[in-house]
Amino acid sequence: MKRLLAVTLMLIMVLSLASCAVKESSATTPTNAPGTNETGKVSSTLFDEPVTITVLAPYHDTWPFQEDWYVLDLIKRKTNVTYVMDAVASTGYYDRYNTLLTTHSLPDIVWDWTSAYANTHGADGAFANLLEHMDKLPNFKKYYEQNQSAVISKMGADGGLYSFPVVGLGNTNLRGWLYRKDIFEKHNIQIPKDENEFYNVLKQLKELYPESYPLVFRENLNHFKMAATAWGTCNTEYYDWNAKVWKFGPIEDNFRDMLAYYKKLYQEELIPPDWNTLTTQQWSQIFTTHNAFLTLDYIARVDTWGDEMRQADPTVDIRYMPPPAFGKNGQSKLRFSCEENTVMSVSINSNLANTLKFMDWMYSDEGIDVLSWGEEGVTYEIANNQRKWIPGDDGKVNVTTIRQRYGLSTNGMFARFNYDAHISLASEQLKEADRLAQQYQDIQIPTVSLNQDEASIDATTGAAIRNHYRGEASKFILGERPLEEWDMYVQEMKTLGLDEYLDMLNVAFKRQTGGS
Amino acid sequence: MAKLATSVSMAAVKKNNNRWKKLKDSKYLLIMIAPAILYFIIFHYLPMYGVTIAFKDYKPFKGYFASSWVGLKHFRTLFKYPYVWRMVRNTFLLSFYSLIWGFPAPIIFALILNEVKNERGKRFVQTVTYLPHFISTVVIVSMVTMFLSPSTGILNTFIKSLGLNKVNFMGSPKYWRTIYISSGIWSGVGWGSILYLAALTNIDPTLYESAIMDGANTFQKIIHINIPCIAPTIITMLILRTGQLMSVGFEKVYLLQGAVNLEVSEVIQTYVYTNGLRNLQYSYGTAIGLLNSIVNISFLFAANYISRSVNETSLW
Repeated sequence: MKRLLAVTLMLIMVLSLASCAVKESSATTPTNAPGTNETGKVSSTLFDEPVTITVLAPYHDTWPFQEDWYVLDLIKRKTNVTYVMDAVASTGYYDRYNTLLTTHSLPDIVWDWTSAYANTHGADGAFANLLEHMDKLPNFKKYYEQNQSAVISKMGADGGLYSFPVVGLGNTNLRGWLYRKDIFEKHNIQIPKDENEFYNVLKQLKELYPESYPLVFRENLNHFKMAATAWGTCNTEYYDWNAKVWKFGPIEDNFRDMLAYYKKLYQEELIPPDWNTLTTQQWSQIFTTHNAFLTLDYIARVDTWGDEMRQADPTVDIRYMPPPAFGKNGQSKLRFSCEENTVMSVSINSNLANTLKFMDWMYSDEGIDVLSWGEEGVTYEIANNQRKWIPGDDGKVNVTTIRQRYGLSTNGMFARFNYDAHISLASEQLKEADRLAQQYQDIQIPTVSLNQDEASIDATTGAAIRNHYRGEASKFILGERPLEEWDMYVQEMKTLGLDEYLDMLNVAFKRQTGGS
Repeated sequence: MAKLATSVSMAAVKKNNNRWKKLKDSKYLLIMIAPAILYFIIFHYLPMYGVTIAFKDYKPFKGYFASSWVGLKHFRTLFKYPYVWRMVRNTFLLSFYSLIWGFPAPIIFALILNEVKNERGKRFVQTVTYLPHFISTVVIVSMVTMFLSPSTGILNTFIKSLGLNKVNFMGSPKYWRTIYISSGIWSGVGWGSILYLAALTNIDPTLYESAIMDGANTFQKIIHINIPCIAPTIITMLILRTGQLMSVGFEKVYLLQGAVNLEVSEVIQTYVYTNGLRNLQYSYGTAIGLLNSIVNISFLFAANYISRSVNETSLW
């Protein structure tokens, strides 16, 4: 019996090990895909000899990965690279990632939503530090030099750059003030330029529509992430590019003025009484049922809400509103929102040189162009000197169908994207919003990468500061704590260790940026 | 002396033989249970080695063995968090109140339902009360926020119709625990009563007969027959619940959490999620989890010990 048990145990162990081994080899050993010899003869490709590059990326449920996508054929013809995609559902992505990482069997390229993993594991030796390979990356170097302030955020705590920023689609994250242009014009209301005009506009709208809450926003205090910039402050810690130090917005006088202002809006019911618990659904309902006329959100709402509302009332017109400057140090700017967090990292393995060369191609003019637009006559045609996407058999063409049909602009299929390819399909309102939102965004606040010790300060002191701010800011607006106690609140923040926290950020940031 | 030694060893051999025979006799049972034992060894006992990362600076790429030992560093870090006691208190109170209010609810419900004589009505009520158990937490939470909303919620519309002022239930820390616990009772009462209903059906009917002969009314029957008969079940459940005192369901707390109620709603589990893991601090998260489990296990042991000394019912 004992022997039977032992044998069974051993069998199971051997089997489980074997299955691990099989997985490992299939992930690491490059296999020559069929059909390489047909296209190998083209001389103008990136590689003379056929090359195989493996990549791990999550797929999107609306456009799941297809083996026969046009984009894979395109890459093969242009570069002679057989691009082997390990496409994983996004929910299980980090399970797969971690398994491959801990068994040291990551593919050549690893896609990720942020650079956090790449920085942690890169410093441990999993990914190449691109700064050491700049001589092999002429095209990327060009991008790197022109976009230093964006690249800083991708750097690790040790000052290494362990991932390629995947850029170009950040415009979809653009946010801004959106207003009902049709309502404004109907009542001859001018676009407000400062806090008083803004308040008067809300007042006027409330008088015209007593049941409405003229301004509505979601995610309660997160509203200040965008809005605080116009007050000349920030809702978290931020980097003062002029003074070159880290500061904390929610203890500044501007921030107090902003809270006092929203307190007034709350008391006069110019914002909903449950502004701090509104769900996205409730917020959306209030705006689309004509019970609010101003909000601050993703500019794409111009179309998604606009189209929905125009079905009942064709006169509805939602537009981007240039940000009013609020308060004493106000500026007509909003927080940088063209956020581009996604990255692609390159594993340190025997294929490293080829992978780097291929990644660099993605940053070349040719790489950017073909991976954004495809090819003339196949995916787009030129009319009046302008590129136009060729519609499918059903006559439809939009960002979703482009992805579903060709695989263009899906995860892992580009590194630097030309956003013209997408915005060309947008409505006039959205094009306008896109242009204005870029114009009115502030310079980006960098992300600081922390080492182990700093991370534990962040998890204790940092957490306490963030919590205290969130709790007290709500109370100030709701009137549960009088604003006369502001100085006391600032003192509480200092007692929690705010100064030490900012010192830690300054040290970490200096190291991350190489002391410059 | 020598004789004695041989006889002892003889006895040992005999005993061994006996044991071997016993094993042999039950080999089919053993084969049947083998997969379960293997499952526990492979998926529950072997991975326990992973808790060692609570005492290390764990680096996934380097692996368990290459990561350096740091002793109790991560445990000390936790106590550097200024709100640590508030957080522990919140976790405990939330669990404790859930236990006080939430534990008797299904028992009372089962006792009441047991008295319903109309079989159809009883089944209907049972089915209806089970249903919320199958609704996902996310949906329950959004139902709660919708019902309680001051601008569109049912409850506030009702309050307003009575001529009273609207209450922003979710916008204040005062009501938070009550909302959390009462919605928990609502969604769990039917499901929780199944066990007690089953225990009630096992009661010997002769007990009732003699009680009726003695002139007991319904209430007296419940007090003197029903409750004592299901007491072992109640106590076992209570001990098990005590073993979870320091863990609250992360999902629901997190979904109901907001800036305003943070002072009552921040629990250990949500802290780990929002702050502990922000910078991929695997070891820190594990350390907190380990500490939490140790506290839970000691509660369980304590409850079991008390129960065993007070009355005979206990888990082991």
